[in-house]
Amino acid sequence: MDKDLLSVAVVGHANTGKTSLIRTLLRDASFGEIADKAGTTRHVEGAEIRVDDNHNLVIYDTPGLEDSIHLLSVIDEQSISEHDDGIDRLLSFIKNENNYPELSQELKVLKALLSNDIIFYVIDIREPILGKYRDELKILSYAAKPIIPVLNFIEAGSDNMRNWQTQLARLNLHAHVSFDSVVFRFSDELKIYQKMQTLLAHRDQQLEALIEQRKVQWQQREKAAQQLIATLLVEAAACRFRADNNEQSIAKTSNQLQASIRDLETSTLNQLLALYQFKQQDIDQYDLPIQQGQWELDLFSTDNLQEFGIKATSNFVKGAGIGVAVDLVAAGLTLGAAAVAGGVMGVLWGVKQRYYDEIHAKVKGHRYLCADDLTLNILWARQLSLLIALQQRGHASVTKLSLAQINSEKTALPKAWNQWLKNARQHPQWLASNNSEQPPLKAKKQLLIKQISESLAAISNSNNSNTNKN
Amino acid sequence: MDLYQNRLLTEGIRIIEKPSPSNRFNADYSTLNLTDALSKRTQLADLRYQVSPVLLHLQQLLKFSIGLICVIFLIVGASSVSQFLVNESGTQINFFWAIVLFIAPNILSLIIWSIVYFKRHVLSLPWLANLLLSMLTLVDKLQHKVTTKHIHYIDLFQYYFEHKFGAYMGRVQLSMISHLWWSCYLLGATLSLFLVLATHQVDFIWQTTILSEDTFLKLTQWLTYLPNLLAINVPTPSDVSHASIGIVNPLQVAQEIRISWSNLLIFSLIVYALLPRIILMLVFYQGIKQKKKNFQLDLSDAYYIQLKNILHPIGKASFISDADQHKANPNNHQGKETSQYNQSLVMPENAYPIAIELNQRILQQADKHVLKHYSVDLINVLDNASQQAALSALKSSAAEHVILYVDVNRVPDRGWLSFAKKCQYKSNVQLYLLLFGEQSANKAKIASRLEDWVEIAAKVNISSQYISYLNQSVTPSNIHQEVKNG
Ligand SMILES: Nc1nc2c(ncn2[C@@H]2O[C@H](COP(=O)(O)OP(=O)(O)OP(=O)(O)O)[C@@H](O)[C@H]2O)c(=O)[nH]1
Ligand SMILES: [Mg+2]
Repeated sequence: MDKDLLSVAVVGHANTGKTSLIRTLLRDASFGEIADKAGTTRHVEGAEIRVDDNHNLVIYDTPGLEDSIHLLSVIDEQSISEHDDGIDRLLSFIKNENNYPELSQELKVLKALLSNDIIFYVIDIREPILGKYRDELKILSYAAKPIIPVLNFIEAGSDNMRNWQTQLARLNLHAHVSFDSVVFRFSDELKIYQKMQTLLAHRDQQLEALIEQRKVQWQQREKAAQQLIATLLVEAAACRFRADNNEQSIAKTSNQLQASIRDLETSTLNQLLALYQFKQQDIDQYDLPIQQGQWELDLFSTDNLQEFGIKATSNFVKGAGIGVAVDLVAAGLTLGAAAVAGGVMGVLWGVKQRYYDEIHAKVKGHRYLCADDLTLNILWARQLSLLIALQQRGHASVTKLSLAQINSEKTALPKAWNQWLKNARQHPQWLASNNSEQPPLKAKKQLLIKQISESLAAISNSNNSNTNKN
Repeated sequence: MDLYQNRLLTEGIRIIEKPSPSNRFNADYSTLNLTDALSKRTQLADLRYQVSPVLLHLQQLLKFSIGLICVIFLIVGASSVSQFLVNESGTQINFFWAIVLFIAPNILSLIIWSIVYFKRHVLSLPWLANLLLSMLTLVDKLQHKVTTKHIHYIDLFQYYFEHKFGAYMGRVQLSMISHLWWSCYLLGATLSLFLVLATHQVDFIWQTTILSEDTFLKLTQWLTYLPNLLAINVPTPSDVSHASIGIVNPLQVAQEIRISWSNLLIFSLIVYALLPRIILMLVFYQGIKQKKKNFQLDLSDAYYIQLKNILHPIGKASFISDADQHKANPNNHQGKETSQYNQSLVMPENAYPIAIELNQRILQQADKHVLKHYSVDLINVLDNASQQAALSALKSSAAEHVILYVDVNRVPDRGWLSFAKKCQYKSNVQLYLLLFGEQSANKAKIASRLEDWVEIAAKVNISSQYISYLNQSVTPSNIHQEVKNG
């Protein structure tokens, strides 16, 4: 199958973040090399972005332009006839490439300019508008290709944004976009594709498909992430261990409980990372606060509790026995309903299965331990902030994923919170490791997870509209 | 393998791989659409995980268990006839008692079933599922001869059970099973009734203590309505009155009446009990088929989204299209020792200072520095024009030394290098590098930049003794003082 390719060349001065931009667009932290110095990328390196089954977009990383002043003077020196235009100048220079070994990197860029459909010109907007940048833009204009200036580093360089915008406007470049490869905003990515759409009218449909596909992907991913968090909450709340009624046993059991809640959180963390295409090794490499798949910030450390604005005075375990009384009433109701249906035997047996453990524990003086509200509260806050951090993390990030800025006010608990916890705690069978003998059907669990995910979606929507307002 | 089996298999593999799909099963998925890619991966993964034998076993287990109970019900149905209908002497059947025995419980259970079926949540009563589960487990234990079970057997079992009896097709499945079992029971009863009637001579009677004859007449009229339409020989109202105890008919008539009663009994059993059950059973059987056909994977599940990322990644493997000819980047093996510079650099005489891309603040500092030592105007090189100006001024000064003022925070590039080379306008010119920095800036970053500068300076023969780093703290008071001093 011949794929219909649309190609983009990413060019710009050295160290402006060309490779970083591509990494972020590809969601691939292993693309090319990134370093905070000039001349990191030395090849023209391409990668394909999938649009749909028949279309791809190819994006080429190029070495940084470093000596544009010299390059421009050489290009302008090319002896050409009067009617020749910029492209002829460039071609004439390329023909004489052997005369300029010192410009071999720039030469690759020029070839890339001529062979692709559209140019992204990456600008580090923290930089003043120097002669070399103006010369670069002039050289680009020779290639007579549509150009999208990408204003990079908008997080750090926002003061200088206006200057660059005016400068670009004077060169007739109005379709610029702002971006930050490290502090990622999905809307900025969409803007890049939308600008391409404006400039490449004949590729309109293909780009529309790309934009649409990206949106769907983003939403699906967010939804799946919310589902994961909801599942974590439900399972962590359902998690319980039986202890004898003495200090020693309770201490031991509560350690077990901590361990299994940690495991649950770790597993969710790994899944979230995979979902947002951050690999475990990328994390090690970039020194995220995770070690051997574990958060460096332990869920149960007092520091961490304080970080979330919660005083570490409360006992973290809670007896699950309290629920039993209520449950027995419910059991009576089920019993009555089922007796009507004629299945008394089955029901009695089912009730035994469902309540035997609790009743037995009561008689024998055991108790069940489960995570208390506060722990679950922190778990919730951490996951919410993790999700936000992952969504805003470009694949070019090399800094720590930090959750320090979260405060507990921001993570106000949803209204139905207590209801959820109560519901989950009454269904130990929802967590496989509880080894509950109770019936395995998960419809109710799925229902609760759905409720929680929906509430998460509402939270994220309100967050988005808040940031849009700012 | 049909689509349903394939999807079920994909789900089975999901259960095994949970929580994240493995990326071991590589193939060229990019040319396939998602459905095909998924099914191809499923096949590859199944070779490794061996899920399909387990699923096959589970499917057979379910069929076997259901079939076993069918047989049991058939036997129960058959035996119920001889037990309940034929009294000790074996010559009389209480007709209405027979009807009540067979049809009433059936109708009652149909009513219960329809309530349960149309009230969604009742059927998910955990106990029902639990009962079924333990039955399946029991049968499995009895039947399972293989000692080495698949390591994920339990998980797969649970999944399969959930799939069959859970929210998606549980209602249809359970309905089908219950109608099937009832059909078996009624079939058994009908068959054995045939047998009884074929081998025994019985008289049909009715008995009552509190009901009137009218009731039985009415009932018979209802029951005979359909058979009459079909012209089947059934008892007439007068036969009903005669069937009361104690009335003896002539032989010939009696035989005809027996046949008509037994016709009615068998007809009622088949048409009013067995047939509806079989029809319902078939309807739900079709329902199951439909459900299987419409069975979709939940592609919004986190697992499948991860899998999609693997099968159809946003960015495909990269390729180098214009490789670097000059291999072995010399930058890679740079010295590990901290970058050296000369803190007490003595400014040479007969030197010409040039500033390169300095910002306003640092340019002021550089200006001050130049004023202290030399009596020329510092040119700040920002573009081609200023480069040319600086170079021609340099040439006309005929200086032996050139001092380059730069901002340590800037990234040195080949543009700088080529300009520095041009500054060596004659062979014996020595370049000096004066780096300006601000103390407040990020230390680690400055250190690495300093390294870059020292490295690039070496390329134009500026060894560390000709490099100095002026680390100005730019607090306002400091500037103020300098202004006073100057
Ligand atoms: N904060 C921030 N840092 C960025 C951004 N883009 C790039 N960087 C950093 O800038 C440095 C240079 O990035 P590269 O992607 O290597 O730049 P490049 O343009 O490919 O450089 P060459 O290949 O040398 O031309 C790296 O340290 C990146 O981490 C951005 O948007 N925000
Ligand atoms: Mg690069």
